[in-house]
Amino acid sequence: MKQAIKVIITVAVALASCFVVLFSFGYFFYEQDNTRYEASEMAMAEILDVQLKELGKSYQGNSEEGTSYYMISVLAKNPGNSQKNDYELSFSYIDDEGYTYNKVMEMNRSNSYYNNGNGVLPAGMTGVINRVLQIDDDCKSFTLRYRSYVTEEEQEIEINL
Amino acid sequence: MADNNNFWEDKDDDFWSKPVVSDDWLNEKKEAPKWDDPFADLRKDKPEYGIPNQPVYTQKAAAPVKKKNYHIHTIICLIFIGIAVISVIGSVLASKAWRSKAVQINETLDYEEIAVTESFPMYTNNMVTLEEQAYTITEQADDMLLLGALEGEKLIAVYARVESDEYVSAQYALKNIFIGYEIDGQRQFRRCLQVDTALIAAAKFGFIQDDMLDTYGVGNGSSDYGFFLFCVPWEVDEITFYAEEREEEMGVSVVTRRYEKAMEIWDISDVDISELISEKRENSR
Repeated sequence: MKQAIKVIITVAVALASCFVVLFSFGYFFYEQDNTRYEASEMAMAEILDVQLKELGKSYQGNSEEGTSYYMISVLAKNPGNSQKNDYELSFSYIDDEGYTYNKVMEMNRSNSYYNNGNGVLPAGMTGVINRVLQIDDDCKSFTLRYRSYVTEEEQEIEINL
Repeated sequence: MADNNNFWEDKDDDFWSKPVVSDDWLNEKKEAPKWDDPFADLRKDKPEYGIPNQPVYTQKAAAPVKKKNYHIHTIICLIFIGIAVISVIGSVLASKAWRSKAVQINETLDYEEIAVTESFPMYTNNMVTLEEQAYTITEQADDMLLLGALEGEKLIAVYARVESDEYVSAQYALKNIFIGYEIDGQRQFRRCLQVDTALIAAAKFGFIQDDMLDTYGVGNGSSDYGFFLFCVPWEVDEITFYAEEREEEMGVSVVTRRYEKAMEIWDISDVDISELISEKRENSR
């Protein structure tokens, strides 16, 4: 009886160990694959300058009461080998009351544009990324936040209207 | 002294007072007779059998028998646990090492910038030919809206021809391309439009799918031609066309060569685009 229990425990330990070994290999390959996608994000773009240009009360047929449209031009440098597409540079805008997506909203462009002729930061180059914002008229200032979802590094730039 | 054991000759012999066996016999170290005592465990240290007033034998609890397979099971378990622990530690360390190496590769920029004139080789198997100019296709807001572009942009086309008679794995020409232009003293870069989403808008101007190129890459064993389409602001009248050669290193795509060619943008009045497309189509046959 005792012998049978020992054999069962040994087999269970062996199976558990095999599972752990396979899991370890799986983890390594998963991380390897992840790195491929995250390497670009890990070399975070550096924001050098931000300019804001007022576009007016309407833009591309859109207009909303109490808001104005602005073009924000972010000058950034891509330090890495990977090309950074416009949509990969994720900005958030914190208004003068400390809220995000409240007084300052980024205008959505069509999906085809995001997948097509959008702006890009080529490897090792410095360029401007443009976004159209819709900002409440009573907003005096806001903060542009650029954050890497991998390294969680972030840059914040205060912009006065 | 009379012999106590001389039963037949000793008259004073008291049979009943005699011991059953002699002291010598009793003192001899003899193996105790074995019997099945159901209460043996309860009285291990007490006399279990014998004769009153006589030395007694005691039965001690038998020492546990160590079997060989007890160690074998333990050793097997330890080996498996050891392998599991080593593999976990190994995979974590290897992942970290891989990650830091990949980041290092990504951050190490080491490429050659080559300004090209008309034709230039890409990789080992493609000959690329570009023109001196790009063509404006449309400036109409409605057309641009269809492409999802921003207000104030126009659609331009860059013609390219690639000749290749050898296939080499992952060596497609013009796979990594973009354009650059300057506005208010600052550089901006744009990707090309992808054929599948731009075709609906481009068809209006006479383009068919075969006339268009995008970042899927061309050449590499077959000769090809076509137009890359880009959206640029109205005021742009000169662009630089960039094409990169890239290699995979530890899963990271690394730039090895960057070709660049300056082009002026011809105005919409300079050329009839549908005629141009037909002409290029004829030339490619």
